[in-house]
Amino acid sequence: MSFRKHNEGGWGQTLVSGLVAVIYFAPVFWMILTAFKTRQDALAIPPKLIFTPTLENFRSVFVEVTSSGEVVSTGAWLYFANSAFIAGASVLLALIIGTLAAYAFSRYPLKGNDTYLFIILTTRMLPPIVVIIPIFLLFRITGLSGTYIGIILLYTSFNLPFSIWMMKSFFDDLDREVEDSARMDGSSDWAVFGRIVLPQVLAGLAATLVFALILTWNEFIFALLLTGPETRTVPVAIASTIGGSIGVDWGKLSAMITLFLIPVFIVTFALQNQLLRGVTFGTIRK
Amino acid sequence: MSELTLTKVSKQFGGFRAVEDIDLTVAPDEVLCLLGPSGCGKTTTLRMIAGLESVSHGSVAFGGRDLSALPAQDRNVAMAFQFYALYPDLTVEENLVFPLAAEGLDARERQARLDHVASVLQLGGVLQRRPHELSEGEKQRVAVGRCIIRRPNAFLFDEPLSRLDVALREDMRGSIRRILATLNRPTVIVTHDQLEAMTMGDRIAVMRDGGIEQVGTPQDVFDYPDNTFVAGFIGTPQMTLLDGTCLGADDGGIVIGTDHARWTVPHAHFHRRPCKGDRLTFGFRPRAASLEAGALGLDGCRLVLSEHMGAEKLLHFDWHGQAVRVLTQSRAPEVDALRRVGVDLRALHVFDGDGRRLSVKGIPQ
Repeated sequence: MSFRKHNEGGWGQTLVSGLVAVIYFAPVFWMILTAFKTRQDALAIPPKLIFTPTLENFRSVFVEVTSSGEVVSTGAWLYFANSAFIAGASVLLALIIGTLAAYAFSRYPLKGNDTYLFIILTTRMLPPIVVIIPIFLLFRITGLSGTYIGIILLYTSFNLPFSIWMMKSFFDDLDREVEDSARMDGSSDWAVFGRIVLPQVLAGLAATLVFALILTWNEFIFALLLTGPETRTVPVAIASTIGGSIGVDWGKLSAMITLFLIPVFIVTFALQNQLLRGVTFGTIRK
Repeated sequence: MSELTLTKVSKQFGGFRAVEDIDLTVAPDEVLCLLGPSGCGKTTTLRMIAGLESVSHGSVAFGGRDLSALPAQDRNVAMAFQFYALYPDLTVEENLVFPLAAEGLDARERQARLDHVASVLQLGGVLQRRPHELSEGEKQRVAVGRCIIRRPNAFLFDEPLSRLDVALREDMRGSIRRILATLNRPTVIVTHDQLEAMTMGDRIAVMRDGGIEQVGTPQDVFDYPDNTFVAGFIGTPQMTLLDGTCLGADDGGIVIGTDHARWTVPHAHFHRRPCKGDRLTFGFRPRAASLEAGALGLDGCRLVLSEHMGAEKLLHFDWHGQAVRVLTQSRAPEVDALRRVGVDLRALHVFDGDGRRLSVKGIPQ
């Protein structure tokens, strides 16, 4: 008789999961390899797995040599800073507003609560390309085009429906008696929310944060049309490296994307434990 | 300390009336149990006292001061919830002292209260654990501890023992009773378990369909149920209730019976006498019936089922289509055997057609 821990997969399952993981990760792995290759190695046929790594591509992301031999900055620092600031601010705003709204929808339902929730979701039902013209005109008229505040507000409004729906499901899962109990113990509604409710939905906050961050961090279309030279984000900058007189510089492109991936990797790994509970919606610990 | 008073309290949920015109007074040193089947409005009543549910009509007052309009956090009422409602991210110690933040106590007094509660409820060893690391019994003790660490206007307990196993329940019943005796505050316990109500309450309020059927001491409610609902609800095994009629009166008393039997019950047995032809219900507890002689005889009872209950046997008879239960220590007859069941007159409860009690309280010996 064999004894296996409850829920522990066998060799077969492990092998299949490993295979799927490899398939998913292969393009990312290849891109990271390319970031460390010289132009010749990157274009070599057959493709090279063994090569002498170089950091030249990473250097070329940030500095370039002009025709007069002068070393100047490419301005990529600004794009990375813009991406971080815009994504950070809009995700934070969406998380704060979304969490408060979700709590209100969950605990103080309005007449026609579900209708409101549905209307909020409809804002995400159209593909970006359909709404881009009215939004573009709106930004032109209001002078928000090319400003930080404009793109941050836009991303916040995109992330809100998702944060509200996601956080509401976490709040709905909580035991209301615990909040009643805190109220009986003399806590105000804000104290109940801050001291008792929020700590119970940390997993949900983490999951919402990561999903919203990935969506915002990678957003391209709106950033392309609504940011200016000063507010440009990395995805737009990456796109602009494609083309030019020498064709696609695969090494530089891969280096830029590799750098671009790092923050999302770090956040996701840092929140991994919370995230696992968050995506499985296992917030109730009894 | 002051008493808790409910005056004509009602609760309406849309078109549904969950609680209707409840009047109750709980003395400062009294434990009142709200007892009734699921959905009878007992928890809603408790939540209205707590302030977690608004009162549709009527008032909830402590010491004569109407608190109906105050939110829960301003009523200074302590409550232990059915599912304990411990704060999952706080340790046992933090859970216990949580309510004290609102009281603004100094550190020394807070520590003294914590030490006292921890020692009374034997929680000293688990103070640094979190709720998910506790056993069911420990969770229950923390919930009680978080209540009694305060000095509130009243204590409320919602089904405090319902999640514990039988042995633990018996143990905790006694402990909670002992603790409550020292608190000297009006206390309301909601339960659907009559044994819990009988053992923990100074008085019991039996509820049905949002109203109170009877309020009295456990003994009073058991011995003299006001109506057939209370008679059937209180007592295990259940009271036998038989349909019959009033057949008239003679010198010896009122003649009552069915198509199959007639008995004369002395006038003194009734506080309100039925008239000839009135529909009646008469009842007796299974322990008051026997297979030996009794003034009141039910001839031709057919044994349907015999259940072993340890020292005793519960015999289920069929008497012309009506169920009769007898608790006996003697040997059970064979199934389908016909027997005469005898009942002592003093143990007979007579109710009118609407189910209201006709027998006097303190039936003459």
